[in-house]
Amino acid sequence: MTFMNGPALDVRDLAKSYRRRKRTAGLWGGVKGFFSDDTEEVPAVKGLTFSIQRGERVGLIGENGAGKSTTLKMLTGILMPTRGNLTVLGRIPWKERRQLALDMGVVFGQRPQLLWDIPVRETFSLLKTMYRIPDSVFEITYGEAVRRLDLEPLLGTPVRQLSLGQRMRCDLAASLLHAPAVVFLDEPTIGLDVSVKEQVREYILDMHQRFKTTLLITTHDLKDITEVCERLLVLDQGSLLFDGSLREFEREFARERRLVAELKNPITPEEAGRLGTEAARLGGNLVVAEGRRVVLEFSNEAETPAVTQALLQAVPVVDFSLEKTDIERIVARLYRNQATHRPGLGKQP
Amino acid sequence: MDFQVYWAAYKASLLQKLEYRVDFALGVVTAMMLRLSQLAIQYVILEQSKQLMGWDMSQVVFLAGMTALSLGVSELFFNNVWMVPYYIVMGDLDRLLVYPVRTLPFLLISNPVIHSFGNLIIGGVLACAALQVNHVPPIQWLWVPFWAVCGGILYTAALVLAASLSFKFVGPYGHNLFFVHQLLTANQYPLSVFPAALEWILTLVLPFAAIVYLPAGWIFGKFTNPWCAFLAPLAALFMVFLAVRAWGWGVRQYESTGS
Amino acid sequence: MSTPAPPTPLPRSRGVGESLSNVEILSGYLALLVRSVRAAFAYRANTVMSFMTGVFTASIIWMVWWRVYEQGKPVGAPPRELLFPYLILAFCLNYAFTVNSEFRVAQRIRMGLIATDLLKPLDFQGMQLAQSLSDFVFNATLASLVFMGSSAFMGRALAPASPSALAFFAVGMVLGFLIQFGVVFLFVQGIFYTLNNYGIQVARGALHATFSGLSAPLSMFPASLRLVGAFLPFQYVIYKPVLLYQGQLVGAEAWRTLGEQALWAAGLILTGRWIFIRIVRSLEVQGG
Repeated sequence: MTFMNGPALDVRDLAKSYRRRKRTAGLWGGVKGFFSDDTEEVPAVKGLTFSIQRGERVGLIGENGAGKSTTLKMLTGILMPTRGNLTVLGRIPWKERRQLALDMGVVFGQRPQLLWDIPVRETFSLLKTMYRIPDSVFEITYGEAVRRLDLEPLLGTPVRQLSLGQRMRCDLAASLLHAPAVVFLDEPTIGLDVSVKEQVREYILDMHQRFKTTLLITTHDLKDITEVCERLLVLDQGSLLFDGSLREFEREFARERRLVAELKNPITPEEAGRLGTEAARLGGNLVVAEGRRVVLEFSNEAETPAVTQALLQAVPVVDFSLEKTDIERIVARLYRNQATHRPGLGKQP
Repeated sequence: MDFQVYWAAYKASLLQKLEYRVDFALGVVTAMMLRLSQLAIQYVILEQSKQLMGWDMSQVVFLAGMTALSLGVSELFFNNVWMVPYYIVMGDLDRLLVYPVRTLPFLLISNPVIHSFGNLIIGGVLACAALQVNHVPPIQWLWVPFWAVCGGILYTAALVLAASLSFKFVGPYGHNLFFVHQLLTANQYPLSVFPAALEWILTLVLPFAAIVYLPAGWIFGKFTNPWCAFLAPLAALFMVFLAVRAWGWGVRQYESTGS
Repeated sequence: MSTPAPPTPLPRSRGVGESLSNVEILSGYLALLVRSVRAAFAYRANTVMSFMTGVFTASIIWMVWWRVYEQGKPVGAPPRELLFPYLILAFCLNYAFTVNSEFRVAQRIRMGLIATDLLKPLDFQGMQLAQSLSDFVFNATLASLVFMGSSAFMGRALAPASPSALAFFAVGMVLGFLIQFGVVFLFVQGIFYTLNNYGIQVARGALHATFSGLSAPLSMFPASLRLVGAFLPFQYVIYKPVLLYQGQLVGAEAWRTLGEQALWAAGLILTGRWIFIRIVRSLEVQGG
């Protein structure tokens, strides 16, 4: 039974806490821990609510420990939530794991998927049996995978002998062989060369186009987001910090600008001092002032004319350009809460 | 059903292992060494005492052979149970949980080991030699593979029970399983040698007696109750039932390590 | 806001190619030892389990011998007052000497860490020794629990035969440890070739179980087995030290035993070292 109506993923107030044994450091701590039994509750996910429609391409980002993996594991049925409601393709993951698995693909980036020490080709044919993939579908997915991910030279190699990059490509192919309705990718491009990352992203997009696959990608590589995803979920310490399109994210958070200028003469300490004070008055920073190069950062694009004017009045400028902050910096700043401009939190119940 | 998948995975895995010739030879030889080392101790003991509770050397050898056969059958098909504590600690169980197959059987067949052949060969040789020396009619020799299969299944189920404890007491070593292994190897001696308490444990709690001691006693005419021969499959089924329940409990406890 | 200061250079802890001082080396080993003991305490359920398993396995043999003697003491066998204490002492010593080196080394190879191990300034064999020592510290503690518990029941029977017996035993134990270490290290070399630590461990374990005198003193062995055992080092790990303790080897014989132990220890450790250097050289050539 394929599930046609309703959202692909529906998450309400999802939460998860772990019990951990309290550990103290040092040799004596180890001996004490041997005899004691203190545990503590560690919340990993603190009440998430969001909904993903069929065919959406969503990125999930957050620092280590933000709860991305925990969320993903609940979505794939590996972990039971402590609280909340959750359906994937209309099924409750941890209750209907095996049925859901037939329509679901998963790639765990840091841990290779393929268990056995058998040649890659055999693994794929084993998966064909396991997922009951019809020949017609298999021909397409297998053919595409081999072609687009350059798997031909690897087909005869036992999985154990593959390098990390090679194994990742095989994992990815394996996860999409059965043309699942929803695919979860946990760090799919980690450890790969730049050119291979490109290949992987193109392949994912291609499969999405063919089969209208719903994608949820967790990643540290923000290029994965910008090239593949249309929507972004930002997780911070177990809570949803932002849920919206990439465009909205940039508009809300990416108000910083950088003014990079080339000067006629090398800047003097007095000039630098004056420029710095003026920039600070306008709510900005003089980040670089060396030789003929000056860089000013300011947090509100509305100040652009004023800052530009301040610069042009302070020193003779030969050339200058205005840059937007890139998404990496925004995210980094978001975590460190360094934005002087206090952003709104986007779609959040 | 799922059996197609299990068989395909098992066959592929086994064929691949057979390609590593050095490992194959090493595995077979070292397994034999282990069995022979235990046999050597039995030889030392029986050379001194001539008989143990009415069991002579050849009959004790039969016990050793049957134990080895049960071990071999389990290792040949289900050896991957030993990886369960390791998988749990590393969070590797996740991979298995996202496949559309029943986790336990699929996990068990994923890693057949070559040294099982060593145990099967030695076990077979010892058992047959013992039967020959004791003039057991050849038709009765067919009991041996029957008991060996039941034994392999029962022993595996006991290991799964022990492995299920790893869900609660997390650690990457298979010490629980090794304890079960030692309980099995105790059956190389006639259980009447041991104090009653141990005999009862090995008959009622972990019914290894049903797969080695009782059948052996029956085939050598020491026990006349035919149940001694037929208890093996029943005990095996019972243990499988317990193992499946324990495993289900364990998976519910499962918390993977997260990243 | 002034110009940002140029980045300060990181302090250099050590120049390339500078070697460590002896103090640093020793504290390196010590740190390794402490870490290993800590790790042992960390997985507490497994520790208890492994201990119980060891006790259980030994008790099986004990129970069998007990039954044998109940049926009637075999001709030419030692009296029970000697045999049963022997079995307990053998168990305690054997448990104290249990190592997990094969598993550790294989795991490090599998995890790709072995390359860094081989490049570390600490000697690989030395590191293995340090870890074996930490194993010993931990296991000996547990073994002494068994010893003390058994003494409560067996009293004088478990005491050393005399102060000199105890002294000889102490030296014999140290040498026995070194022999055990030497044997293990030799077998560990095999893991570089097969990655099959289970097989290696089993092979060594099988030989040790038979010929170390753990399950029965070698004097009780039938002639054929006794002959084979006489040429192997395993008897010097358990059997001979316990004989020293029980005062079964005295005077010149005791000294000679210690001498034989020393020769075996030196031979095994040096041979292991020699083979290991060859292996490292061939690995370097292959760039593996």
